[in-house]
Amino acid sequence: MSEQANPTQAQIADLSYRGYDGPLQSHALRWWTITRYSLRQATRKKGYVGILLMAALPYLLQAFFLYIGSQVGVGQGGGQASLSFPDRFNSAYSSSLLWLFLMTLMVGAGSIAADNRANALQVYLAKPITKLDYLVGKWMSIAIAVGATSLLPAVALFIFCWGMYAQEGFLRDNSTLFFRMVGACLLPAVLHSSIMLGVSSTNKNPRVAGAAYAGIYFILAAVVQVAGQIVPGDNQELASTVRHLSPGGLLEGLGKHIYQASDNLFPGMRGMSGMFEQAKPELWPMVAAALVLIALGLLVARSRIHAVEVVKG
Amino acid sequence: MIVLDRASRWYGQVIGINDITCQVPPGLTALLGPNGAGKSTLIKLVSGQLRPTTGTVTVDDLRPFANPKVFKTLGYCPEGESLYDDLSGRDFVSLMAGMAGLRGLKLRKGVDDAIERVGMTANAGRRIGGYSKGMRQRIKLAQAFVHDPDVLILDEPLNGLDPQGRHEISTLIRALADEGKCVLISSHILYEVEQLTHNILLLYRGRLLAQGDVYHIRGLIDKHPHRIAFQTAEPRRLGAALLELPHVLSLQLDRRDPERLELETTNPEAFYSRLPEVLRDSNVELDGFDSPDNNLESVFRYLVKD
Amino acid sequence: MAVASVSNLYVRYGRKTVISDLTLDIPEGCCGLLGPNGAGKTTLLKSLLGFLKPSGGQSKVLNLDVATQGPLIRQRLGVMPEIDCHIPGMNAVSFVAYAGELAGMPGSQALRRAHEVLEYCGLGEARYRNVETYSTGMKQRIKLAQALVHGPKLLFLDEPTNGLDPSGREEMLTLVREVSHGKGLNVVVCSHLLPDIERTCDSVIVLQGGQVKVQGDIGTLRNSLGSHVDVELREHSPGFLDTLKARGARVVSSQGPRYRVAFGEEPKSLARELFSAAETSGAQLRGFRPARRTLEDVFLEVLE
Repeated sequence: MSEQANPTQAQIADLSYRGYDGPLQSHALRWWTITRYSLRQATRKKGYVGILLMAALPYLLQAFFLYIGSQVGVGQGGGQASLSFPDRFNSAYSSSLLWLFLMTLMVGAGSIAADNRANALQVYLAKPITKLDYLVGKWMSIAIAVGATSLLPAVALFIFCWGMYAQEGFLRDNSTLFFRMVGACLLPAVLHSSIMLGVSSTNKNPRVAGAAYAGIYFILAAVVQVAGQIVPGDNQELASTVRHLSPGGLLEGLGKHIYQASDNLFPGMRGMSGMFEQAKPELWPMVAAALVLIALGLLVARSRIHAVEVVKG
Repeated sequence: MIVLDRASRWYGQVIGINDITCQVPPGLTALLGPNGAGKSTLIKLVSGQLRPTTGTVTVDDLRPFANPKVFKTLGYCPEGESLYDDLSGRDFVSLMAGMAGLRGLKLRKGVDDAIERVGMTANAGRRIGGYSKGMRQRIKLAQAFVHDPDVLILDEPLNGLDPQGRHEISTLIRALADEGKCVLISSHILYEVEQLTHNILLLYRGRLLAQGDVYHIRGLIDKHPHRIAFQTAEPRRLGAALLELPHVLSLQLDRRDPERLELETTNPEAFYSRLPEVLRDSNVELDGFDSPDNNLESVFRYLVKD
Repeated sequence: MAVASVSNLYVRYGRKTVISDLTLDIPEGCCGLLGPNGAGKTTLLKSLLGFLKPSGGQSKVLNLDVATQGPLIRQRLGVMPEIDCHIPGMNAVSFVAYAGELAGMPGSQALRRAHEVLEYCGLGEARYRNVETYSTGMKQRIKLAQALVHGPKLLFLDEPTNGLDPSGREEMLTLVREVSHGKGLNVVVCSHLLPDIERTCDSVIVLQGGQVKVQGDIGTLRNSLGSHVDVELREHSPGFLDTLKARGARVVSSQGPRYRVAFGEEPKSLARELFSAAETSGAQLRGFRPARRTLEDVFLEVLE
């Protein structure tokens, strides 16, 4: 008997709605779903690769200078090569800061603002997602995008240096450099994503949120510059510290501390304000200021996420 | 009275309404049509927000487009929810009344009356920003008729109201129409429209598909197969008797309801007139009968086949 | 078994108490949750979702405690909110698949289900379009799709036909009716449009001022109105009404050629009585039915 002839083989499937009884995953890594989707959207934006390359350029230039130096001069000869490795990394780091900031705006401005406009929270929170999952997911998506932008070229430069100077004791002389580099590169990711998340959560329009953070970034920088000028007395250290109390300044100043860079940046580098500064900004006030900004951003974001719309009036 | 004479309106290449000629007489008329049929375009033309590309639109013999004079005779309740959130309900209605030309005592009295008629006296002092959807709907309606206009255009005025609110506002709208105003109301909720009025204006794909009394319109489509459902203890015997009638097209028993018989006829007029005699001759006891096609919803469904 | 139950629930917004001492069981099947604005319907749903912390009382959904098992409940729950909402910047398939993943489905399963559910909700052809370009009707459908994707056991629908045109409303009601019957899915519908509830639901709960005013089977609530009969003629005929009155009937209400008539004494054969009255007055009888209360009648009566 052939298979087709068997009457028990015939069937009509019910193609209308049916339930789902497949596997469901545990709740533990739910934030990662949010991060993954947000990152996928962010990396698809126009200009993403552009900013990525621009942020990598300072590191590329350092590698280029080292290469030229090794070709032209002998050993440590040649102008550029007289810089220590930490100074080189710090210089590239501070030159890439502006691009990291732009990356933050591109990836993060809409992270919550766009959701606010589309009432997406109603979708998120009706699923087994807690407020914390949501915030962690969104925060991580900005932090990963910014952190990768800052860390990957640095790691590449590190490997380049290692390859070039392994025989001359690169690792031995700079035993902590790798960890300093990782720390410095993750710093902007943490600071930017926290503030950006807070700013984004207060808005319904991604552009406005971006403009708002840009405003905070640059106006604060201008304000602390002015404040640094009018510091009473002749306290260079204090003036320098005050001048670093903006998001951009903090990243630059803290970067110097982490790399233990020398106070004088070599002229001709792309570091802008750095070359005029003599005194090193103090560490702890900057750490405190950074922590305050991070906490502020996160607290604002936390307070703005509601499952229930608040009726006013 | 609203008169459209061969009015058309395009947006670039997109057509909003196409060559519409109609009159909206005093009383209540429902403006119906699926989404994208041109209802909002028509409302915008009549309320003076758009100029017809060709043809004319007049409201009480005035051209409404960019004509402030028309607002003395026209009240408009828009669909959107964007109001002045920082004003109180009363200030908002007063503002609109002032713009319509009311002054002094007349304004105050008009505003109080209108607010009372929509049942907002208790909440008129509160900020509009804190209003519920239903309250916004009421205050929007109040500002539309505060200056006692001859023509009222109400775009989805019952949206967002709870069942009691719908009942109250329906009654109010009917009362406004009974005062002799020409009220044009757009709505998607056909069973509510049916309770308000029989007079409809049905737009479809930018054109005027039907206008007039629903029952007359239904009469016009009587030549199309028409379903009638019977409730009886003996559906088979009734069916056999009815099958003798020449205009019966099909008979159907119901799988779930053993006392139901549904038939289709091509000529309802003739069928209904022969029905009493068949029932008498067959001696079947009837518990009820009616036509599921006999309401606005099925007329609409028949005319608008997407 | 109740799909959700609350006992002695108190909910406050700031100082305002919206629900006080509410005890209620939501039955299986499709249940309509009705009530005037501010009656506490949305508040009840939000506290069942765990969005609002009650100031007293207990709630259980699908036999899980709301206070401690929120995520577990929401994994078994689908919600279609009243307002437009979607995840920005996505097409329909990724949005619905994402919603499925948020509910805990593995990525591959979520994508498969997303396609299936979108087809079912009638968005098959539009599924690669960005949700932002959708019309009102499509937005309602995608809200339903994202609520169904993870195969919930309980579905909350808040004004599912809001803003839909007649054919859109028809289709939405059919979908709701279908998923709530014989698919192992219980549904709670909030709506102001009582005829919609009549068509989709098996039972209703009417809330007012945070209290249950009436609860029960729709069929039972709409019990017949004694000897009232709805009669329809071809066209309005005063003669017909006069004939009926002469035979001892009373006209309760009339609307065009439709009348609600009350017979003082039930006639032996209603059909014969009406047909003969029509014949006498030269009117054409086009239908009659023993009158039933509509849900609206019930609702307005209860809230008097």
